[in-house]
Amino acid sequence: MWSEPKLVPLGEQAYIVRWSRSLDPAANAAVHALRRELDRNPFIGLIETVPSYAALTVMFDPIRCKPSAVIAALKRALEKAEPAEAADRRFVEIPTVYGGDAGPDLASVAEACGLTEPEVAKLHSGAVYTVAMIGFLPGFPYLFGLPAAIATPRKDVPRTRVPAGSVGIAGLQTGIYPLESPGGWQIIGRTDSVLFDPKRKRPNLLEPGDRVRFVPEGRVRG
Amino acid sequence: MSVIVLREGIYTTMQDAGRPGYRAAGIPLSGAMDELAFEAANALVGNGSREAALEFTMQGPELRFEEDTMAAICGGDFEIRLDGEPVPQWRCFRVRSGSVLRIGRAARGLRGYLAILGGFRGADFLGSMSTDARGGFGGRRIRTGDRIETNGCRVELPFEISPWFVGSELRSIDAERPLRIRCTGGPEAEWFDGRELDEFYEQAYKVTPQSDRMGIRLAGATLWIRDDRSMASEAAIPGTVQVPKGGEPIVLGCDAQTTGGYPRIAVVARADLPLLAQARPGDDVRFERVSVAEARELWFGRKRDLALLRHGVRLQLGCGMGKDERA
Repeated sequence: MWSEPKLVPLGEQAYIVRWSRSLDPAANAAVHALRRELDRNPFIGLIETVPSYAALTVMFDPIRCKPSAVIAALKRALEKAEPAEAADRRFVEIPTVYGGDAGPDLASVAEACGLTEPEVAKLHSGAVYTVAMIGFLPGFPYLFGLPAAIATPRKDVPRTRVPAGSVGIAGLQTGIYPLESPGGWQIIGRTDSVLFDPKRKRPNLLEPGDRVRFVPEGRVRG
Repeated sequence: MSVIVLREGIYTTMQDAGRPGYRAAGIPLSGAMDELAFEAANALVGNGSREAALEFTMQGPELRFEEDTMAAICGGDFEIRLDGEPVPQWRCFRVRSGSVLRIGRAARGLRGYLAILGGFRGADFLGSMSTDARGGFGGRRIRTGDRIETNGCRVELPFEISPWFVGSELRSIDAERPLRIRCTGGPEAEWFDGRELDEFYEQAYKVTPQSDRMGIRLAGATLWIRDDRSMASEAAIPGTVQVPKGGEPIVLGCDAQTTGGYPRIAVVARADLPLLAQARPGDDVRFERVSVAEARELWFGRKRDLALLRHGVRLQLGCGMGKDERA
């Protein structure tokens, strides 16, 4: 069902299973299918798998398994991997305040896209997103599904301080900063939802494969 | 029992074998940067390989011990005094109740590890007590006035300083200079011109002062990819040699981001990461290409040396305790 991926070593302790070099939703579905299969049937020596947009990186202990055994196990897993059941997917709503102090870049994004601020907010909150991967910071979700009409490149000069909960756009990506951090994404809104809390039983709010919708709160601030 | 921090040193954190298993959630491995010195220190006191130790950088802490214990310090060449008397590294030594251990500046190397019998006890996050300062979990950096808990246990020893010690094969600071860092080809190595790749393996890079647990930043001739290629972000592991827009490579450390979008020209063999953990700003580094098979063999050699040390010490001590089997 999916195209045949490449298997590429990453040092002596990992293999990359790669379908594509770009932000490819079909490849991302294959990444998560393989990840689920390896989770269900791990091979001896498997440590963990890290999904990204279009590749799955598989970490293993080289003392417990040879490269040939890893490759054989990955090929078997690829054959058995299946798409997710609709019931498997979690759906998470992220209440978001758009614009004003919460979204200092909403005005410039609107201008760059030839839209009004409320139109940008409406387009952003109207889509249903998929968490393609988590990276950069604990709990930072990279989301697929941004309407092309509001895609905007990263800021030329990143901010030294982006508040926790900030919702941003970078190219065709949208995401949420779980912690305060320097950052170059266009910040269009903010959520009070806590994306990462080390004291919670499940520290991360979102996981790869989750569906997400942003729910606007209040009026779009101008 | 506790240990009181009289002086914190330059950058001291609790580190253990790290927290694998959560990188898909964006949570880095963390753990000891020089894992050989960390494991050797634990082995010397008869601990398992996962007990938490204190990792200190450039200048170590001054600590007062509340009870008797056994301790060991491995890593860079630090000046160490116990109640004013010099104490050697790479051996275990007895610490008495009320003693003050003063760890000074590193004459060679950069990082050291203090292990005590039973290990230190800090803030557990996802099964590890390694501090991740950026993420804000697993504790925070050690500060003057802190009281650090330990899994202390009293022990009667027939010596003040053990007759056994860690051999040179496990001492990263004894590696020849300029540092020869073996690495395998990275997934984007072919994005670089043939001449650039040769440059990467021939020239000496200098470690810059901007290096830390997130990465070792190098200065030297810049590298450029041909064409205008770009990649979607993929997982990044410690030892990955990234080439960001400026053209100067970074070797990712234990606290580095779990994913990245910069081209990866090489991946440092795990066996040689401890050498980089001991590299000081200004040190020269040369990369040497090896095959994946050779990188595996190098790692097996390190594990063998550590296993021999661990078992040898346990035979001498007649005991063994704590968490073991780090991946």
